[in-house]
Amino acid sequence: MLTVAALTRSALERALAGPGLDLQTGPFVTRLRTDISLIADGVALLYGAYAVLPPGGFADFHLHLFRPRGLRRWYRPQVLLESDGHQLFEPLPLSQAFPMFEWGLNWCVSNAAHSYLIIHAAVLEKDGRAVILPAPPGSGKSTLCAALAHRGWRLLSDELTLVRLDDSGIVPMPRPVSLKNASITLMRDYLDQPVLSRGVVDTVKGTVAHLMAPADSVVRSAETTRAAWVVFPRYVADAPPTLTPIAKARGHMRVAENAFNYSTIGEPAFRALAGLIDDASCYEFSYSSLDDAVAVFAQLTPEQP
Amino acid sequence: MAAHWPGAHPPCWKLMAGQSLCFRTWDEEEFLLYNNLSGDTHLIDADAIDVLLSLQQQPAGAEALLALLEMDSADRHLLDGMLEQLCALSLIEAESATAAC
Repeated sequence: MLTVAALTRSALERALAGPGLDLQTGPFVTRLRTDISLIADGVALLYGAYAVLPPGGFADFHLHLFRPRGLRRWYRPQVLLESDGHQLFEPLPLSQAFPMFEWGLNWCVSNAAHSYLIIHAAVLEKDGRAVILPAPPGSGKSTLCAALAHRGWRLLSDELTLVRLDDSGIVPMPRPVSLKNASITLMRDYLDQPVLSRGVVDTVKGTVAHLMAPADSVVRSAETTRAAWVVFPRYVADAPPTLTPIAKARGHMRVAENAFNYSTIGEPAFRALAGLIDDASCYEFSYSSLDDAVAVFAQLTPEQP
Repeated sequence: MAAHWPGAHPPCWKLMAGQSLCFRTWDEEEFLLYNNLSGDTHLIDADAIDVLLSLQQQPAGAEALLALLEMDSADRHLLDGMLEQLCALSLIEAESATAAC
């Protein structure tokens, strides 16, 4: 299997600027085309373990990032993103090119992959059982996910949990973990030599940087799993770690509120999520210390059938 | 709810036509109902699901539903409130009184 890491820098740039780099991320193939070196930098740094497929095959998503023409190209360069020939977002400053690729890929999955129920949630696995962390921005979800992914849990996704509609199985799609603002410094200190992209300032989310997914998570991205826990995390300054059980029906409702396409899919989504909740204990979790949180998660035990 | 129906006869309730009553529970106390007519998921209690299942079998008036839930007439306002909510969710609808009610 050819991986990004096996490509020389010039081969990577030739593929990106030419027919595109067919990148396997979980169940999806993304054809990425760009001549922007910032994106090549990010792909080379963070996607080394990902499979590159031979050019010309089927791709689920077609992303093209480029600098628009015009005078602005010279005095305030920008980046545009097209998916299947359609512009997805307003132009952004060129410095935000790599985050734009990440956001664009998230957009493609959450808006088009309706063969899965897609939950806005981190998901990790240990000993064959997954914990799902649905949460709105600001809850500390990605920070907690990054910590767990480096403390014995396999990263399945930090942003998009894919649930199969037929059997409620969880399909991994490990990608770089998106960190924002204070979390970037926090994870630099917390992890041992983390691989992080350069911080990009003044985005709509503040300063963002992406943390490389552990290589083992990427290599095992074809291994599906089942949920054993749904945990709604909330960072609360100075709070002790507190895990509070909640009724499954309420857990289902809250997960549905965090799903991108629950209403679009309708009854199959209801059934898939109910099947997931069948197997899963549901909790609210407040915490302030990552070490405390990791210790609590290490003590999670699956529900007895 | 009776106040909304000033006619001579109290309403007879029936399940909304086409409602499939797809539901799940994990504790027999709280139920999730997928409303196939609206696409919404509702969190309802055991009494509400009993009423819906009964109306799925046949239309019924308030008196019959009070008996079903083993409630006495002093609790009529509770039942009326529930029926009003189920109606607002387009799960049930009123029809003119029939022999079944």
